[in-house]
Parts: sequence; structure tokens; C-alpha cells
Amino acid sequence: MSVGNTARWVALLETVDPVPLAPWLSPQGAQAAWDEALAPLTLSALAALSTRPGPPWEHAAFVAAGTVFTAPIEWLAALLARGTKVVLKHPAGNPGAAEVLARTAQLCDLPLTATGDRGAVRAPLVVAMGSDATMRSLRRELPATTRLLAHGHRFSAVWHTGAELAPDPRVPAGFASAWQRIAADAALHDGRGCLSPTVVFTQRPLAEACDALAQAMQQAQERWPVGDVSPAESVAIRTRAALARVVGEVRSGPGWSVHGLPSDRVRPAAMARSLVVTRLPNAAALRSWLGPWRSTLSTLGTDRPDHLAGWAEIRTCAPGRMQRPDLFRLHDGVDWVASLDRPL
Amino acid sequence: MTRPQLVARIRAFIDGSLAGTPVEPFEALALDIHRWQIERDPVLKALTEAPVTNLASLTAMPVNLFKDLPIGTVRADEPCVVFRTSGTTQGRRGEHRIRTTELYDYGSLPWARRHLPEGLGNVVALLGDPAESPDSSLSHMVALFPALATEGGQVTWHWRDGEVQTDELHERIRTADGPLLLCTTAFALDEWLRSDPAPLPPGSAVMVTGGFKGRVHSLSGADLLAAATEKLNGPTLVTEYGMSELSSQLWGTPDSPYGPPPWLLALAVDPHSGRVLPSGDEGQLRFIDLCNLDSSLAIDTLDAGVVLPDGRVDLRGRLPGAPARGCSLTVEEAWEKRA
Repeated sequence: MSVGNTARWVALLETVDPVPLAPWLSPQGAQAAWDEALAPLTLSALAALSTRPGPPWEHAAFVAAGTVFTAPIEWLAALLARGTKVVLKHPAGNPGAAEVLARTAQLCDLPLTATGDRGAVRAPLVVAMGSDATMRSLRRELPATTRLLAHGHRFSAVWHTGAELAPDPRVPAGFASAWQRIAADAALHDGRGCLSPTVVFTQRPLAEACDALAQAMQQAQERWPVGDVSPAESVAIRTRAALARVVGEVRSGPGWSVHGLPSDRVRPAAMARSLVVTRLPNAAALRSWLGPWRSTLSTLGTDRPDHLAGWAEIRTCAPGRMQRPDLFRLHDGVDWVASLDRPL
Repeated sequence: MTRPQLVARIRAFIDGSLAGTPVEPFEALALDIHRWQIERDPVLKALTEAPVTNLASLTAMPVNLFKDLPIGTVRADEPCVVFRTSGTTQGRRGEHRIRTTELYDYGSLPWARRHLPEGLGNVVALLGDPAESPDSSLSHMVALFPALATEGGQVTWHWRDGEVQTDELHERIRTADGPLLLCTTAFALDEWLRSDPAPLPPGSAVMVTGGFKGRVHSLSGADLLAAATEKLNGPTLVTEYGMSELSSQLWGTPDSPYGPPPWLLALAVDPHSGRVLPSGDEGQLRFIDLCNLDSSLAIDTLDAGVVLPDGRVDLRGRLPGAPARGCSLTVEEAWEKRA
């Protein structure tokens, strides 16, 4: 019953206009993000999400962050398909998609409510996304018996060697090359999500890589124009551009930028439609660079996943799929579907 | 143009403008300093794409770039004074390198004198002793203030080991034989006010600086200053705005905007493009500081504000989404360690 209702809910969501839900994105950007979030939630996928060992949680709460407005959808689908009652806590003053998600769910007889009240986050299972400070604060506030799945700050990166990539139907049409796929990943949610690439490590010469990525970023901008960029984001981008102008390469166009930097100058930072490119000679150098960041790396998009095999529990995927993930995957290093199982 | 020649012109500009008779236009001196810096600072040279013809076309240095690059005309092998940004938990700290504090001191002291009650040079500082924190520009500035005293000024330092040294501060205030100038960050003042503080002697003043918002904590400026008035025996309250990357400071009161000295020009710029906005428009604050001879004349901050037609600055806080910074962070980090 819950699976069927959840499938009805997903079908209803497909008819929703997402543009008002994410006014900080362009209409094309909001629609693309919405479509990509719903695409994997097929009836068979929902059935698989609900078929888990042991009884489901009776109640759960989901604490949503303000940046990726579609992030709760797959988690809610998994919980609702199992029959769990869910409270969706959205950031105060920024409901995003939360109220629409709850209203449509209720139309499908699914027990989902939305609230901006932090006090409502009381359930035996709490899934939370947001800043590390929010995660620390939740840990302090919630009873010790609460199972808290805390997903704090993470970043994602690309390792590009030039190896051939297999065709993939979920990669947007017209974005077949590696650079185009990276740009398509950076375009979704304007590059602000934890699955968005922030740094591209490449074996290609820096200027050549910057040129290729710049061309793809312009193409992505034409397909999915960038939305609003905050003053602080713009200043951060201008500051990094200044650094790149002094020690590296800068390419930019309306709404996007590419900053080529020496690897010792790179610090992962999500900036709207702005990527850092840096050259590394080989996989050993990549592993060395990533070492200090191992615990905060979410996803590595790469044409050579074998280069990091066994290195860390991170999600790897082909470029173009970083923001278009499979349902069954590692999320922040854990099997997120299994993480929702109630301990037997 | 040599550095000594520019130093002499800047000193003359300060003297003249304080006397109400500037010896030359601000812009002429600023452009000469900027051109001199471009010839000596490879970073500034790389960032300057077009000829600089007026103040609006000056190359302003993003303040966070001080964390990544050696900004300024002081070579790595030259002796210099280094002021660093506050806070250590986010790793990198910005470094402001200047050959000497001559210009810093020459401008800071008379501008402070303009904004503080006359002769107030006995200072209690809720700050680290510059002997222990030589890279704190705020402590350096406050260490100058005994010279404001009509006679016998001194400063004592009461921030140590991550907290306000309340016992010794109580004693220092209790035994004072005249009005005091209490210099503090907003967060240290909050800590002091929560410790049942001794009232200040009549005629005292409190200088508050450092910002009211940290990474975790946020204070109400109005509430804090009202509490200071109530608990500290109604001292004169003054506010100060400075940065490690600047050599000059702005002063105000709780009820009035920050006033820059004549040798510091404030501009509001569009944070997206860096273009200068008309007077009265809110934007990202840019400062053109003639005393920043050794580093970068123009600095783009991460603060928002409105520059009024008379040049004063109505500070609106951090740009939305910008990370916290300022001297209060040192105190907040100590709070977090204690929590």
C-alpha cells in the first residue's frame, strides 16, 4: 500500500511546477533539478527501497538544508514507502519544497508533515543535512536514544584522465564529452550541493583543461542559466579569480568561471558555477592530495574509478552522474538505504 | 618617487587634513602611492589590467587574498611588522606586512584623540598583551593610547589564557584614581558584563570593536551597549572599526556612523562587479587607506555598508553569507573551547 501511494506521490510531484520552490535558481535550473530528483523513483525502485529486513521505523524526522531543495525527496520516498510517519523540518524562513512535498504526500494518504519548528524534530530516527554546526547542535539537543544520521559539510571532486567514457542515458543530451559532463554536474543546483564538483583534478595541461571546461561551462549556462548569486558568493569568486590571475589561469563568462590553480593552492569550496581546475600527474598524487580531505569527500566523479579503488569509502561515478546519482549508492560513505533500517 | 618621499607626503597630508588645510588632493596622493605599489608588488601588478586614472579605477585587493598571497611591497627577506587576522580554527590567517608602524601610529593616535574624551590615557584593555600577541593590530593600536593621557598614561592587559582576568580587572578598576578608558571587543565586553563588573570611575569611556557576530554566537549590539551603560556607571561609549589589513581606523558612537580619517576614503562597491556605487547605495565596503603604503592602498572588505555623502560609513554588518571575522573571534574560540 505504501509503495503504491508513494508511486502516486512521485507521479503527482512530476506535475508540480518547481520554479517557485527554488526562486534562487533559474526556471530552467529548478526544472532540471526537480526532474533529476524524481527520475530514479520508479515503481520498481520504490519497491526495492521498501523491501528491507525488519520492521520500519514508526516515526522519523528529516532536517533539510536550504541549498539543495530536492535533497529530501529520495529519503522521504524511502521512508514513506516503508510506512514511516515523517516530519520534514525545513530552514526557518526557507520552506523550499517542504510544504509542497507534504501537501502532495497527504493527498496520496502518506503521513508527511512539514514544519519550520526545530522543536518538532523529535523522533527515534532523525536524518539531518546541513552545516557541521547544525549537526553538532542537533547531537547536543537530541536524546541519546535517537538514531541521528548526520550529513554535514561535504564536497565533491573530479579526477579526469582522458579515458573514454561509456554512453549514459541519464547524462543530458549534448553533454557527451568529459568536460561537458563535468559542466552539467556543476550546473545542477548551480554547484552548491555536496554532490556538485568543486575541484577538477586533471592530467591534461592546465591551460588546455581550463579552455575545454570553459567552453562546456558556457554551453551549460546557455542550457541552464545560473540563478541568483549572493554578494558573498560573488566576492568569494572574485577573490579566487584574483588568486588564479596571479598564480594560474582564469576563464569566465556570464554566470560562470573556471580558475586554474597549482594544486597546493586549491581548497575545496562550493561556489556558484565556479570550478577550480588543477593538474596532477597521476593517481598517487591524487590520493596524496585528497588524504587530508578524506573524511569530507562525498563523491569523486572520474573516468578511472579503479584509481581510487579501496582507498576510501566514497562514492565514485562517471562525470555527468555526480548530481544524477543511482538510488542505491554510498552517501557520505554509507549505504544510505541501509542506514534507514531499524536495528533488529 | 621614493618611499621616504611618499612617507613625507602622507605625513604632511595627515597633518594638513587634521588642521583643516590638506596640502594636496587625496586622489593625487592615492594615485602616486598606487603606481609606486604596482611597480613593487607583483601581485598588484598582475591584478592591474588597465592604467589607473582615478580612484574608481584603483585595483582593490580582496581582503581574503591576504590569506593566500604575500600582498604588498615588502619582500620576503626584508624585516617587517606582521599583523594577522583573528581566529585560528579556520586555518589560514591573513597577513598584513608593513615595514614599520610609523604611518600606522602617526595616523591612528590623533584620530583616536578626536573621538575619545580628552586626556583619557589610563587604559584597561580586555585584549591580549602585545608583548604576547605582537601580531594583533588592535593591541598595537591600544598600546598607543597612553600617549593620549594628559600625564602619566598607562595600559594594562586583562585578556589571558582564553578569558577575561576578572579578579585583576576588578582590582585595577577599584584602585583607579581617575577615569579609565576600557578598550574591548564586543565578545570580551559581554563576558566582562556577565561577571558582575566593578563600575568604572566617573568620566570613563568604553571603546568597543570587533563585531557582534561570531561563527556561532551573535550579540545584540544595542543590548550589549545598554548593559555597559547600566553596569559600568554610564561611561562614554565609542565604537571603533578597524582591520588587520588596514593602517587606519574609523570611529563612531552607538548613535552615529563610523567616521573615517581624511586619509582613509570609504567607497561602496557592487559585490558582483566591484564597480563603485553612487553615494548612499548599500554595497560592499572598499577602503582606500593612504597609510597602507607598504601593503595595498585599496582593500575590498567582506562588510556591507552605506557611505554617506559626508564620507561617514553606516555599517550594515557582514555581506550576507560571508564568514565571520574580527577580533571577537578570538574570544568566541575561547568560549567554544570552554563549552
